[in-house]
Amino acid sequence: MNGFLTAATALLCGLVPLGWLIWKSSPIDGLVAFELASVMAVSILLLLCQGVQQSSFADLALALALLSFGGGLVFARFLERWV
Amino acid sequence: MALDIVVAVLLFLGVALELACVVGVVAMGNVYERMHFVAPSLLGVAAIVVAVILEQGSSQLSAKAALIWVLLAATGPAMAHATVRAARIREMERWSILESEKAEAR
Repeated sequence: MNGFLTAATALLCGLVPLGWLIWKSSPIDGLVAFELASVMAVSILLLLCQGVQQSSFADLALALALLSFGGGLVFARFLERWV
Repeated sequence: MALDIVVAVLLFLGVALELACVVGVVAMGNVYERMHFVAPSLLGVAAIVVAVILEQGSSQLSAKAALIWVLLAATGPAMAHATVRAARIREMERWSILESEKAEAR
């Protein structure tokens, strides 16, 4: 296990409290936790792709970085009034 | 050897920063305070991206890693604004400041 995989594992542990926050708190607080979780998931995918030496996996991180922005905006728009 | 140490330090810094942001988001009391801990996580991503670039050298993965950071840095402020706007509208039923509130602020 190299340093990149170790770092990815440590970051994975950090997702647990964010999941708990999303589960337990109000929707708008959950949205903040979701934003941070997205950033961390992008880091994890990048670390995994370097850790297992598969550069093509970086496309997943790139797609997640793009799509989490769109998803977050949609959540924020709906949380303004309707949810 | 020196490069390995630099990469390890950058990885440690990146992971520590992101985990510190998690602690901040979980520990704070309301959405406005929590939002302060989302932006610094980009510094953690930057450290991780630099570590990947140093390890890989000039390659496709390095370019993608840099592009990922640019994307996150470009979209982060818009996302933060949208989130705080949603929180304020939920709380106060409007986004704009009323004339009476402006007078109070003066």
